[in-house]
Amino acid sequence: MIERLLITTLLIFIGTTAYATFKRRHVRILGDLETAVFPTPTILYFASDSCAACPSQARYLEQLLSLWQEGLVVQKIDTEVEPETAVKYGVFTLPTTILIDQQGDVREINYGLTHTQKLTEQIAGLA
Amino acid sequence: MSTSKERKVDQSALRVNQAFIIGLSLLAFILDNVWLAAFVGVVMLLGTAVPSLALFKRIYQHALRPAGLVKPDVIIDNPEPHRFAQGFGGVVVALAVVSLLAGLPVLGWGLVWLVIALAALNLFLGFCAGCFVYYQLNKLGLPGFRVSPIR
Repeated sequence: MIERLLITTLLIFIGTTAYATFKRRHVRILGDLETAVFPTPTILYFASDSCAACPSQARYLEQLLSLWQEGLVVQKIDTEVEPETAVKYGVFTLPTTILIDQQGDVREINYGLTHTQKLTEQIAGLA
Repeated sequence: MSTSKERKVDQSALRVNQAFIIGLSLLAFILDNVWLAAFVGVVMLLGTAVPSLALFKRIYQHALRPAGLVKPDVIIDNPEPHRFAQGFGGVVVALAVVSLLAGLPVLGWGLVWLVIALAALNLFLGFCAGCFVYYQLNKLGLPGFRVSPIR
């Protein structure tokens, strides 16, 4: 049993560390990009018509916009129309949401469907 | 043709379901308990065939949500792809149990870990592999996969 517990712990540790490292590195790389500076936090929302989870993501973002009263820009990028923007931001899955602060720095990346509560916490953390 | 009317899914119920599947499957592996894995498989398959009997979702509805431990997160979505994903996972767990009972522990626990990985992918990264497969089959026009994404 001990060896199985160790295997499980090791696999979880490797998985979470690899994911966290990958995400940190992605944010760091995007930190060097020139992005438009808005007076409010910005969410770049990457979607496409062929993405099944994107309508749900759009609804979460609508919820977020109605809840967040302090100003927020959500910029939708259709990856089928603007594939070069998706490449520029290293988007490999849809939906992807990238959070940019008022200084124009990329602060968070979410791969896959991200619910309103998590997005709200991330936006609050940008202040 | 599906409309967005009454097509709603509580994402919190799905997340609780995935958390139970991951937790109990990990426990089954750690304890080397094939019957616990079988229990998870039965719950998944039963919940797919008769949604009202989905035990982990019931725990959410009757215990976690009323106690305020998990807040509901209802959005417009199709329940069918999520049910398909659960059923697919249940079949994989059933195959895992058969393998384990047949004396093939590496294959059996490997399949259990596959289900854990896919459920974790859904829970932590929001990517439902089963839903993706469902919508691909829908695009191909396969009978039984009649629901397309709600725009």
